[in-house]
Amino acid sequence: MSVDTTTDSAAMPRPISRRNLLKTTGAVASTLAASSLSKASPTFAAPAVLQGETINLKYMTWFWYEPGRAEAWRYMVEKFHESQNEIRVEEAGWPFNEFTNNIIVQLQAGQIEGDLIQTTPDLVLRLLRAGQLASVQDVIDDLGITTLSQAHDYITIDGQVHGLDVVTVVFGLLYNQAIFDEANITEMPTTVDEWLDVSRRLTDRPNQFGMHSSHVIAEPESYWFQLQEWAMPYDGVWAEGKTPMVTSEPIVNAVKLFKTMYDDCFPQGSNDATATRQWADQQIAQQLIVSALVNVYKSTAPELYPNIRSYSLPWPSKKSIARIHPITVNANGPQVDASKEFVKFLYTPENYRELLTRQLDVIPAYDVGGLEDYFADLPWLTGFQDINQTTPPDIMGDFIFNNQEFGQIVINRVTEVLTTNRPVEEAMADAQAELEGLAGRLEG
Amino acid sequence: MANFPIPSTDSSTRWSRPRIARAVKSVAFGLLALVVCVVTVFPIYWMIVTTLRPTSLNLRYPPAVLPSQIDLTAFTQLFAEEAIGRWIFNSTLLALMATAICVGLTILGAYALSLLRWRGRGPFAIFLLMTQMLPEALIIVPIFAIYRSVTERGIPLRESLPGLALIDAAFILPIGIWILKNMFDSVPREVREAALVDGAGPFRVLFQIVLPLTRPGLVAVGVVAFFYAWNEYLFAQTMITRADIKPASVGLASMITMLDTPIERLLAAGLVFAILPVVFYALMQRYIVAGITAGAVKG
Repeated sequence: MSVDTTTDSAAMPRPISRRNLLKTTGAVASTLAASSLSKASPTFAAPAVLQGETINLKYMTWFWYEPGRAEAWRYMVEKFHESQNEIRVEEAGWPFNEFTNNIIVQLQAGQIEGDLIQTTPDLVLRLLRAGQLASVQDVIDDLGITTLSQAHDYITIDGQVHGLDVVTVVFGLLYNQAIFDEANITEMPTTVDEWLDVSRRLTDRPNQFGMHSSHVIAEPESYWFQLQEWAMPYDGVWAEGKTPMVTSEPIVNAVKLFKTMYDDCFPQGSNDATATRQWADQQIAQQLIVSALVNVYKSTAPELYPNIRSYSLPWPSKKSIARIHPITVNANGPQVDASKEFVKFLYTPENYRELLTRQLDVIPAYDVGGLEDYFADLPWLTGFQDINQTTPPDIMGDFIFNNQEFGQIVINRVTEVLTTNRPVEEAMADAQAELEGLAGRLEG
Repeated sequence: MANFPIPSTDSSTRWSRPRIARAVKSVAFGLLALVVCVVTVFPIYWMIVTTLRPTSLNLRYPPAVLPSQIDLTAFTQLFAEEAIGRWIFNSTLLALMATAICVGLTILGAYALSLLRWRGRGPFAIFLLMTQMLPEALIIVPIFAIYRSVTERGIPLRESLPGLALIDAAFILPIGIWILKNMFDSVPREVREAALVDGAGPFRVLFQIVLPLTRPGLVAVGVVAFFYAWNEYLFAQTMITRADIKPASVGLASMITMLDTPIERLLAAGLVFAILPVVFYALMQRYIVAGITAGAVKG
C-alpha cells in the first residue's frame, strides 16, 4: 500500500515523508525487539529447588470462590507453608461457571498456566486425552495407599493414576426438618409415588414449595448438572457409547417425573440464587442435590444448618451420581515434582482427614480411618450413606467429553416440556435426533 | 367595506378532525414514551429496592413495590467482605488507559482516512469495520496465545491492566476511527488550506485546526472507549486471574458461584459499579450525541 503524503490540499509545505516514517518506525521496532530479545535470552541454571529458591505453584481451582470450602483450602495451604519453606502455593482460577472454559482456552492457546489444576469428572478426561496430566501414582505408592476408591479407575492408564480426588460430591435428598415437622410428616417416602405425594403435601404456593431442582434455561450448567440425577429413579442412562438414550423408557419417565414435580411443587422460575435464598428462608422443603451444598449453608445460613437432614433415596436401586473432583499435576508445567509434594501433603492420612472434615465432605477417596466421630456428628448424613454410586462416564457414555453440549440439547427440549406442555415423547424424539447429529460430528 | 374573517369560537371548529388526530397522536406518543421509560427504569429501581430490603421481604410473593423497611446490610457486607474498592479502582485505571490509547490512535487513524490520500483508503476503511463483526469469543484463543508469547519474551501483557487496556482499545478503535473520520470530513477544506498556506505542517493542522473544531467527536470516542473498557468481561476474565488487579466486571462475576450467590450483595455491587459511568455519562452526554451524529448531514 503506497502512502501519498500530500493531503487533499494542493499545497503541502511539510508533508509526512515516507522515508522518515519508515526510518522512525524501523528504529522504534528495532529497539523494542532488541530489548525483548535481551530479556528473553535463555539462562542455563539449575532448577530453583536445587538452588534453595522458593518455588511458587499456581493452584487453579474454583474452590477459592466457594463459601466454606475456600476457608478449608486456605487453611490447608497455610498448614503446608508452615510445614516447609521451599514451596509456596498461590491461588489462581475462576468461579465454577467459567472454570472449564478458561482452562480449555489456555489449552487451545498452547499451555495451561497452572501447576496444579482442579478438575471435574469431564474436564479431567479432556485433559488426560490431551496429554496434559502427569501420573501421580508415585504419590500413592510413597504413601502406601492401597484402598484408593474405584472412582479413580477411569483416570488410571496402564496402572498409573493421573489425578487424586479431593472432593467427592454425591446426590441425595436434602430436606428441612422444621418444614416436615410442621406438616406432620414422620414417615419418609420409600417409593417415587410417595416422594411425589409428600412433595405435594409440602407445597403451599406461593409461600412454600415441596421440592426444587434447577430448571432455568439461563443457567445451563446447574440445570443439566441436576437434571442428570433425575434419571436415577428409573435406572436410566443418558447415553451408551456413542448412542444417545433420551427416548428410552427410563429417560422419558424421568422427564415426566421432572415435569410433574415442576408443575406441582417447584418454585417455578426461581434461578439458583433465588432458590438458595428461598431454601435458607425456609420456603423450600427438599432438594435433590449434592452434599457439598451443606457446607455452603453452614457458612451462609447458619440458623438453617441444624434443620438440615437427608433421607434414603426413594427408589429401589438407591443409585445416585457421585462426582469426583481430582487434583491433577500439569505434566507440561515447570514444577511437576514440587506440585506432587503438595498433593502428597494433602493425601497424608492426617491431612486428608482434616481436609475432608473441614470441607464437610462425607465420601473419602481412600480408607483413611478415624472418621467415626466426625460422621456421628453430622445429623444430615444418613441419606448420603445409603446410596449406590454411579459415575458421570457410566451414564454419559462417550458423550462425557461433550457433556455440556449434550446437556444443552436436552435442557432445551425439557424446557419446552415444562413451559409449553409439549408431550415428553415428542420433545425427546427431537432431542434424540439432534444428539445423533452430535454423535455424527464427534465421529467425524 | 372590507370583510375581515372573524375567528370562530365555535367548539366544533376548535376540535376539528385534524386537531383531534394530533391530540390523540401526542397522547399516544406520550404514553409510549412513558411505557419505554418505565420498562427501562424499573429494573434499576428494583435493583435499588432489593438491596435496601431485608432478604425475607425480598422473597415474599407478591413482592411489595415500595420498601417497607430499609436495611443496609448488603452494602456493609459488600464493603467488609469483598474488595469492591480495589475492583472499582482497577476498572477506573483500565478504562482511563484504554480511553487514552484509543483516542490517541483514533486521531491518527481518522486523520489518515479523512485527510490523506492513499491507494486503498476506501477498502481499508471498510476492512476496519469488518473487524467489528468478529465476536470476541472467536478470537480469544489467538489473542491469548499472542499475549502469552509476548509475555514470555519479557513484555508483561498477561496479567496486566495495560495489556488488557490494549485489547480493549483495539476493539473500539475501528468504530472510533469512523466516528472521528466523519467529524474530520465535516471540517471545511478551505480552513485547512488556509492554515497550510500560512505555513502550518500536517500535524499542526491536525492538532491546532482540526481537533479543536471536532472536540465533540473526540469526546464521543473517549466515552465509547471508556464504557467499553469499563464493562468488558470476556477478555478481562481470561487475561486476569490475579486478585489484586481484577477489574470490577470480573470481581462482580466472581461473586456468583455454583451453589451460592448473595443476590443482595451482588446487586449492591452492581449499583456501586454503575455510579461512576452514570456520573461520567451525565457530564458528557451533550458531546456524545453531537459526536456520534456528526457528519450525518454534510453541506
